[in-house]
Amino acid sequence: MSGLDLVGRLEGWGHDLGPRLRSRVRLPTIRRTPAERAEIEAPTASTLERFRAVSRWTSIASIVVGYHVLLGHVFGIDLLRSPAPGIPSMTPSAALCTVTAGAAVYLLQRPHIWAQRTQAYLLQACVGATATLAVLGVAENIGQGDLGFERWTGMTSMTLMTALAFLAIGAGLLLVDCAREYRVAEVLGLASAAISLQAIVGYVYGAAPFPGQMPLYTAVSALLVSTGLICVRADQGFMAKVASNSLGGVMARRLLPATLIVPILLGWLQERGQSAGIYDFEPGLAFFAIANVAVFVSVMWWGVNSLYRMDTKRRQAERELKETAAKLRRSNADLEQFAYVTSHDLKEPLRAISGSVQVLQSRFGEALGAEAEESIRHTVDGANRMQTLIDDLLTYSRLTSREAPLEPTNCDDVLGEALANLEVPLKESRAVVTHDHLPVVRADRTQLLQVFQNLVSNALKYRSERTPKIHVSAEHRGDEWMFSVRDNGIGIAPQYADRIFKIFQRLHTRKDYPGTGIGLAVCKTVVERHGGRIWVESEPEEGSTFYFTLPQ
Amino acid sequence: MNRTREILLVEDSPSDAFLTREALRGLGPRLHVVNDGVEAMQFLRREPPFADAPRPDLILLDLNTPRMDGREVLAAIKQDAHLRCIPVIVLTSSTREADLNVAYDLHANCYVAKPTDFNQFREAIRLIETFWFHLASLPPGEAPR
Repeated sequence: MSGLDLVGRLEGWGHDLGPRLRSRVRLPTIRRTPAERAEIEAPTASTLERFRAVSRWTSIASIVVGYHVLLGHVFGIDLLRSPAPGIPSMTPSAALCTVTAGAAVYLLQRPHIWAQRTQAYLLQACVGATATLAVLGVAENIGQGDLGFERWTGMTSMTLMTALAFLAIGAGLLLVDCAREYRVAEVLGLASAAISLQAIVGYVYGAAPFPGQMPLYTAVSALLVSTGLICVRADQGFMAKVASNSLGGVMARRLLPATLIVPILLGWLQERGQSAGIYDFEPGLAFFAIANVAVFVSVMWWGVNSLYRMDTKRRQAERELKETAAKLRRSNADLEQFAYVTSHDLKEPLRAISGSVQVLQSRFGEALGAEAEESIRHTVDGANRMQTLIDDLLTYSRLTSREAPLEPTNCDDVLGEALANLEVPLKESRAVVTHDHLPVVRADRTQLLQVFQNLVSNALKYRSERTPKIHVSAEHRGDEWMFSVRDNGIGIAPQYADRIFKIFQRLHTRKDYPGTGIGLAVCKTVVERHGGRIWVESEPEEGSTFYFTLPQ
Repeated sequence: MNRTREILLVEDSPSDAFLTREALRGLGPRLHVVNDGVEAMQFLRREPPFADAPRPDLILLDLNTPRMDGREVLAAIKQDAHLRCIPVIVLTSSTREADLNVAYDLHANCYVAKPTDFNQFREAIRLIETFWFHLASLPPGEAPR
């Protein structure tokens, strides 16, 4: 036998040896980017809505307070300017500042505020007025009233502390929607809140206001506006953590009100008791300190408890996850074993059946007659089909049991390889295959090759009378690539568009189109394993286009 | 060199042994069949009940045989200075890459997956016969003992 003959004979059966794939049991590892982690812990819609409501109502309340104080000035009603004699009145400029700042916070709630021209101008005007009034206030205080603000406007200037608080608010308002500056806005909001809270607590404790201290109404309205400013973008900056769905967020939301209110309340109790003569200063201070200790210990205990509970739950979940992973590994190993059994143990009896009958045919064929011939043919045919089914099932089971890592893969090269593998049927059908420039994607190369090869091979198999024309292209869509394989074949009726992707589902008889119906099932599994989708659009008699997406 | 060539088939499946015999029908070599690895080693080392066994020119080895499997047989042959020059063809149903790698790691001379279809199976057996007995040159049958 010559060497050439040998090669020819090798080709005759060599292609049936089946694809050899990597053998490794792997579990997909979940690696998350910081962005993905942030998304998982992002505030829930209802939490965000609650913060927005706080912002909305505090801004409305501050407008109402400012408005009434202005009314009090216009109509000379004392109660509207100060709650009691001895407490300084809120000045008209502070009231105006409150109204503009409250309106600005209120407007900031509007969706897409900067895109709507009139509202955006209004907002800019409010912010600008707040900042200007605050700057003038500071200047007036530093310049000891020499600037003539009161003379020009007829309004009493705001006190120094008020001016500082509103300066912080005005600057904060300016920075709310600047990229990455919301944290600064939050800090400024916190600063003005601290200034106003200090004033309020002073009045509550009956402390005589120092020169430049905020009047009570001013302090309340500045606190309202500051709260509104802090809560206006609860999905950004520091507030994103407070509003987040994480354990930290839950704790912050539960603990913050208590840490704000309880010490102030305790201080008030201590002061009341002392001024009522129940105890002296020192025992009062001791009471205050001990009460604070008790409150903080209980708050801390509550925190410890919930952390402990959560941590126990988390550890339990981790343990369960580990067990599940181990189970999955075992079942993967079982699948591997199953694949081995199918590939080896099932083939042996099949070979025995078809082989023996074929021996019977070749040795005693003439003696057996036509009917025996036919029954032998059916036996051999059946055994061969079963062999193909076993091989296909094996291929399919290997898709998920042997996952290789995804690596940057040049789709141009992969398509080229698929076309090279299909050289013979391409030549026989005189098909014209064209393709656009294809991108580099993260993929399992062997599996992607199967997808391209199966789709092109299907386009050839289900060709019409016309010369097969196949076009492969890729299009960038959002954060993924959409590939398409278009043909001018017999097409698929729309009602079958889903069914064709299921394993061993066929639309034609074996006589018309041979095959087990695995190709598209393989494509679907591979594409979905890569995080993409696959579908078909088709016009019967005109052709089909198979689309699949792969993440960038 | 007209002496009869001897092939040792290590195969536990009687039907595969039968098919191999059928595939070699009409060709020169004589086929000896043993059912497992232990028998194979006894045959090769001419231990009873194979005291009169000839030294095979070629070994066809199934990987999954009872008692001592094909991998162990392969390892034993290739570690034995007297036996390792006999070509060993691993003939198996398995297409697992792991099996393929192990076989070549253990110095198998080649690895052939058994085709299911008898015609292709016969073709494979005949190709092996053609290649090893007509194209390739083998060491002399009886190595000095």
